[in-house]
Amino acid sequence: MNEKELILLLQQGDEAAFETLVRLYEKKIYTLCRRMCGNDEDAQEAAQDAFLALWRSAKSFRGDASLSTWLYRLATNACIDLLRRSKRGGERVSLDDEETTFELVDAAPLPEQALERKETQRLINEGLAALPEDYRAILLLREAEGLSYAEIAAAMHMELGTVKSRISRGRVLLRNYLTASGNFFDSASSKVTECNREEMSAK
Amino acid sequence: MKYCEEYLPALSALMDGELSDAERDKVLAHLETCEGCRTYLAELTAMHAAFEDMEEYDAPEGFADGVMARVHEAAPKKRTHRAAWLSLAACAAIVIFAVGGPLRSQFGAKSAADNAAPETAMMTMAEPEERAEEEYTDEFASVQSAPMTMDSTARTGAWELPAISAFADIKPTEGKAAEEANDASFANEAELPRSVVFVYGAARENYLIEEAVSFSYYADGTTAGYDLLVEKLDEFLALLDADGLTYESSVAKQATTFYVQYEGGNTNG
Repeated sequence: MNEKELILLLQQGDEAAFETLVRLYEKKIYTLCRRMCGNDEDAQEAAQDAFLALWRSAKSFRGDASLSTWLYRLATNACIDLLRRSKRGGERVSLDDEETTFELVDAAPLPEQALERKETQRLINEGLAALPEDYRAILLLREAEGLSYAEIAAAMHMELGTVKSRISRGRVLLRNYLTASGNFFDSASSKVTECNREEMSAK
Repeated sequence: MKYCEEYLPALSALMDGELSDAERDKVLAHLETCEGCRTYLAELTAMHAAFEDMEEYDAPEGFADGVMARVHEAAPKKRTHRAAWLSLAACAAIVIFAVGGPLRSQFGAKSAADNAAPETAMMTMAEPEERAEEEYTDEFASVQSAPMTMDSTARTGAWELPAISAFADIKPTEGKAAEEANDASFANEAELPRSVVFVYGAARENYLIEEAVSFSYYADGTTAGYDLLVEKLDEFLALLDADGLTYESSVAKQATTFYVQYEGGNTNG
């Protein structure tokens, strides 16, 4: 049974079809939620919320966007909702999260390159966590999921121009974070030019 | 040498392959002469590469079963939820603001008077204040465009000034870096008029999120802030009208986006 048929069945309230779709997309959606939320527990709740929202809103799915685009939207909203709720409850996603900071402690000795890569990942994740949720979401859709501006516009119900400027803004914020955090651009890129070094050492 | 502010969106779109030929030629020509922008592009490229290595995650064991369990558990409750929502909707005030320059300065001034340190206040939840509700009502009386129902239990006065609070979370935004980050990120926002819409009592309703709203978020089950294009406002209001919800609105000419702290209250409501 192809996806189209599954969606039709889902719209008629067919639970088996829904479950098949959940299993088809769970990894994709869970990964997005995990990257958005930064921990397994929130990611699982948000991803479940997203699929639940799919179940409830299946009838309003018109098929002019792909199911994955629709799911990206539901997942993004679920994550932002959850993160804002937990912030209000005082469980902030902290930049000083010890878990993140000391992730490397138990690692077996790694070749230098792999170590560098891991450090790069740590910094990117930390930088993402520092961004406001909406910028984190749009950057993930673009950079991690590889969506085009048009696809993001469809997923987020945004104008193309807004997508463009928000992605740019998100990148400026992330870049500023990574610059301030010290060694990202040293380790991630050998292209750091002299003037950039001047800029950094001038601080 | 610093990058050129006005080229940032184009540089970002260049990397994404989202420029027209003409735009691309223009940016490439600029890059030939601007070292700051070349450096910035190299940094964007480095970040882009880092994303490619990002870890993927398998859904935890039993994930799909968990979803199905929630589907079953949600089914019998659905009607009650809807009923609760309808009664809430009947009495809740749905308040819509299109926030612009003039309003911003009004609220900004008020908050500055109320709080010795407004920047700190942005980051904390505002306490409900009766006085604030009065002020609020006065403020919008002149621009009221529909009959307004303001239930006294609605938390209309509970929000603080529109604030760039979303940026309060960014670590390096302290001191100078903070100003830079905020300036840079708001410099490009002036292109499209936007509105911020507050909805009380109906935040969980999906249609409010799925339709007409270019971007949305909600903080808990009862309060929402929506950030949408002014041009979509009519469409959005029509949805509220269709459900018989009263609201009040004003339209801003200025293009501004705010992130606003709002009062929560009963999350189970």
